[in-house]
Amino acid sequence: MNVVAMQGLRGGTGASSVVAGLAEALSQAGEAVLCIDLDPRNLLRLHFNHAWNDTRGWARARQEGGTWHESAFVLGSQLHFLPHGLLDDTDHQGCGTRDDDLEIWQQRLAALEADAYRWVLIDVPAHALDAQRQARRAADTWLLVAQADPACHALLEAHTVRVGEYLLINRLAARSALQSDLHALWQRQHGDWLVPLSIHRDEAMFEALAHKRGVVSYRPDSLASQDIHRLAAWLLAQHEVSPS
Amino acid sequence: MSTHDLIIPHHAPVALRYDDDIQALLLKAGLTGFPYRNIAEQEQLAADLARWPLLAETTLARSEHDT
Repeated sequence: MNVVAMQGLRGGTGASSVVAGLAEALSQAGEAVLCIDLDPRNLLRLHFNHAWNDTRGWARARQEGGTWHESAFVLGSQLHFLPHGLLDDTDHQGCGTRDDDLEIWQQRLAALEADAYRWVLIDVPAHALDAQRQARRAADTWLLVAQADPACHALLEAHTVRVGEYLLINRLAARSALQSDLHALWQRQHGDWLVPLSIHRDEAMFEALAHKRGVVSYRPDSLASQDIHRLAAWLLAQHEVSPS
Repeated sequence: MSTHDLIIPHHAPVALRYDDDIQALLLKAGLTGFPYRNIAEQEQLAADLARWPLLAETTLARSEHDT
């Protein structure tokens, strides 16, 4: 089981959209995927046609005394997704100490059947340090999603790269002079951990969420969709998975 | 190229950067210690940095930190 965590370098980099598309691409390649949302804003589910008013999710289930995985949803035979679930402020206060354990997601995933999933994709919020620390313990690959813009450039200058961490450029606009220059600079300065492909800016990515789908199923022929298929192929090669 | 072609890797991943032909040639020739400098890339980078003061400042700080 390969555990891949994806986190935006800052808010608004489109990391959740990439997680959803990547889950679709891997499942289309015949890989069994579990997609987990650690973000209390609970938005990843909207890429998977989840009902707007449905408050179920792993955090909600834990709050109500249930098991963390009982709110997993099935999307075809190869893709399951687990929303965070909606908690009101009162629920947050009483979330319980068990879920504060740094090892909690490592333990939860270890408890799954070994061959249940080939990939676990975790959507990690950009600004929740506790969730990041928990995901770090569970993930073997960490994809930091950035846009080629000055804010991300400044944040990268202060960023400490960890083992198994890769930088993924999202929404790359090749016709932008600034983005083109930043891309060249990042290839030079971050070449040792930069994913050797970028996801181009594509309106289909935004339209997909408006249709409550991931971009790979919404517009398979789009540039962003093809980029995400390449990302899936790169991950498969990184983990040397033989074709199933 | 079909989606299947994109998803299923045909070759094992290689360690070299995908776009670094010169380094690949030097490696194949056994010249791993050759002090190759890509002057065109350096000139392009200098021109890029001249356009964007923030990028120039962070690159300068990085080079000062490295020395």
